[in-house]
Order: sequence, then structure tokens, then C-alpha cells
Amino acid sequence: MTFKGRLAVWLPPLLPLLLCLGAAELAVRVSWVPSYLFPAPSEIIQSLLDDRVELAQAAWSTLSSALIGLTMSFAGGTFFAIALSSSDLARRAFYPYAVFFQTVPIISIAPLLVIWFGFGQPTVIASAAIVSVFPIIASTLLGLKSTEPALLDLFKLYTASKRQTLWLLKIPFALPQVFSGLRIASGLAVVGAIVGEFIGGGGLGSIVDAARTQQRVDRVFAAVLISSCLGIVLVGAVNFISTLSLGSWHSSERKSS
Amino acid sequence: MNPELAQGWEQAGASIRCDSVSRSFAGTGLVLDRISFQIEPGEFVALLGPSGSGKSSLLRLAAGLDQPDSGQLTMAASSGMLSRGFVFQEATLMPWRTVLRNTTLPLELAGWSRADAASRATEELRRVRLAEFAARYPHELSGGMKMRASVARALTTRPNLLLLDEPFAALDEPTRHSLQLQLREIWRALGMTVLFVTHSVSEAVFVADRIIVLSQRPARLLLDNQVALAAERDADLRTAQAYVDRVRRFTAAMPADGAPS
Repeated sequence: MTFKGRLAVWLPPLLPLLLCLGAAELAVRVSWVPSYLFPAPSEIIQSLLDDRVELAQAAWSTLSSALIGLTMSFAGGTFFAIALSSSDLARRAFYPYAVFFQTVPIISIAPLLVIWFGFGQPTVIASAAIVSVFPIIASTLLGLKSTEPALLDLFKLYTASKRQTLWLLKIPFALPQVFSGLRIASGLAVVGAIVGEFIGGGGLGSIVDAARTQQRVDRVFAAVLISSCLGIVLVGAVNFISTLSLGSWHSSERKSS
Repeated sequence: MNPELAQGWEQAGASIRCDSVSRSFAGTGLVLDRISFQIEPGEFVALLGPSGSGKSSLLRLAAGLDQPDSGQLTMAASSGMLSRGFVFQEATLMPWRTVLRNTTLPLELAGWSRADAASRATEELRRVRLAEFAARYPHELSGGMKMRASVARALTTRPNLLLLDEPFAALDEPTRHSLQLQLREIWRALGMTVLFVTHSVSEAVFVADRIIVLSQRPARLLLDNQVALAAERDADLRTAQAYVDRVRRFTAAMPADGAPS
């Protein structure tokens, strides 16, 4: 791409950002806004640089908790969805509770997790897993249920076993939906990890919490900035894996949907 | 006919005996009304009827995908085991598999090794002139090529009964005509029994040797007649007087559109 082409792509979204940052900087410098409420962008950058080691360690801790939690919810959620899809009775019996489970606000059960798992990473992982499991169950189940009827007929015609139908047809057919569930879940896993850290300690969550009590708004902003980046990194990783494994047919899939 | 291609095709055709078969569905009510006919091994029969008559339902019964409410539908291979191939209205290929891996599917499900399945599938792809596209994915193919892949897939198990459900209806006319000829060739080379569902009189007359006409829903058997054209068919036949006469005769036998007869 030419330089001009690149400019045309990056300039429109970059311009408002620069304008906002400039306006924020100005607002604090001329004391329209007190910096203990809203730090100047330069102060946030300063805070990012000063505490870079601590922030990086915290970010790694949060990211690893979110990843472990996401892996657990992916494994558990996929297994649960497969189990529910294989029996109408099981689906009617258990799916309502999966939906109910999703409506429980994580922030209200986080204290309970501390009681069960104690302070530290296990609570954080559990929180990340609980928040991210429902989208995985829901979209995997939807994917497994939407197999093209003619292909199911084809498998029936050749007297395929239930296992063959599941592995060779239903799961590959559901993959695009599985990935869209995973994409939502990966963003939520970071949210769950940080909520878990507010109460269970560790990671970016406790940096935000500690900075709040110390009135270090710049540090709060720095940690918030990094945690949003973590979400973006995770979603990006899922997109990458999705493109890899859907490979040559995902474009046709997109066209038909 | 190429002797190498026909190798291993010992079972020539299956017979079908349809004895007063009825089937109804919740919502639509009676779809098939006491249908009876007999098809001999190696026959090429078109099942002709207006859209929405019970043709496809009858074909699904023959495929074993559905059971009649009453009456009997029995199929038997003249020698060996009954094996069926089915070609759907759409190509119904798996988008994540290459043409070759789509074609090997029936063999894989039957427990064949991957190498054996691939060599048999390649043979069938060559038969439908698609061998050089074996590594492509379905979305890279035209509609006619997809349908040929679907036919190759149905042939891999060496069926003695080939069932086709309006396979060419969605294709443009030149492609449809060329596939009709190819199917006819395949049948002449392999000699399995073919049951071909269509709503097009000209298609039925061109591909089949015998036509069974069904009425509007609930479908009853209106006519069961030989086409009586030469076994060898080519593009010139479409303009021949004998062909035009047959089309006119079977069109007259078709139920009028709209009002159930």
C-alpha cells in the first residue's frame, strides 16, 4: 500500500483521538478540570512509563488468569453444549439453568468465590471462567443444531454412527459459530478476571483498586488502558486461530451467512 | 465403454417393488396415495409430476430416509447387497472439505482406509470429468461442477440403485443438458437402476427409458409408460420429431397446474 493509501486508512480514526487527547491535555493544563479527577494524557503516559515493570507483571498475571479461565470455560462449555445437543431431553432439562446462570451478576458472587477458593489466582480464574462460559455454550449449541438437513440425510443414508455424524459433520459445521462464541467469551474473560482481582487480589484489578484508595487517578487510567489492550489481544488471538482453522472455506461461509 | 472403469461393478441393478404405498405428513395431510409400480434391475425410470406432488417423498422412501404409513416398498439387488446412492436437489457438499474429500465421504463412513477411498473417489471423479479439480473447495466450483462432484460421491459406493432428486433443476440450460447426457452415459456404462425425480417433461423424456407420472398432491399414479426412444441419446435428439412427439404426449398426461385433480 502506498503512503497516501495508508494515510487514508489511518487518518480518519486517528484524528478524533488526537483531538480528544489534545483537548484533555489542554483542559487539565489550564485547570478547567482538576487533575485528581481527570489526569492529563501526559500524566497517564508518565505513569505508564514509571510503573512499567509493575504494570507489565500485573498485566501478565491478569492475562494468564483470563486465558486459563477461558480455556476452562471453552472446554467445559463445549462439552456441555455437545451433551445438550445430543439429547432433546437433556436440553430441556438443563438449558434453562444455563440461561439462569448467565443472569447472575459476577460482581455479586465474587465474594462467594473468595470464600470458596481463597485470595489469589484460583478465585480470579473461576471468575473469568464463569463469566465467559455462557456465550460458548449458547453459540456452540446453536451451531450444532443448525447442521444442514440435507447433509444429515446424507449421513443417515450411509448409516453413519452418532459419533461419525458428530465429529465429521456437526462439529465442523458448527465451527464458525463456536468461534463467534469464543470471540465474545474472550473479551468477557478479561472482564471476569479483573472483577475477580478486585476482590481476590493480584493483577491489574488490584492495581486499579489500590490506586483508587491512593487517589492516583493517573495509575487507574494506566491500568484501565492496559486491561482494554488485553481484551483486544485475546479477541485478536481468537480471530487469528479462527482464520487458520476455517482456512479456505470461511470466506464462502461469510458469503452465505 | 472403458473396461477398467467398470471393474468391480458386479452388481448390475436393483429391483424396486412399490405396493400400494401411502404416506401422510402432519400439516400437509396425505401426500402419497396407494402408489404401486415395479421397476426391474437396470431400468432408467423418471418419476415425473408437478412441483409439490409427492415425488421427493417417494424418493425418500426408496432411499430409506423415511417409512411408508401403509403398503410395502421392497428393494433387492439382483446379486449381492443392496446399495443406494442419492443425489440431492442441491449439491450438498461439505464446504470445509475438498472435492476429493467430499467424494470419499461415503467410503470413509463405511470404514475404508483413506488411501483406498481416495483411489476409488479419484476414479469416480474422472468418470464425471472432475479429476483435475479434486483439490479444490466447493466454493471454487460452478454449480454444474458441484453437481458433478455430488454425482461422483453417489457413485463411489458402486450403488446398484441410484436415486436423484431433481438434481439439475437449479442449473442453467446448457449445463443441465450436458449433465443429462453425462448421466445417461454413466448409466449406460454401469447399468445400475436409476430413479430420477423431475418436474420437467422434456428432461424426463430425454434421460429416461420409462416415465411414471404422478398427480397433484395427494399423488396417485397417473401414467406408467415406456419412452420408446433409442438407447443412445445425443444433443440432436432434442430437435428430432420422435422426441418432440414424446414430450407432447407426456405433457398431455401431466395434471393441470393449480387445481388438484
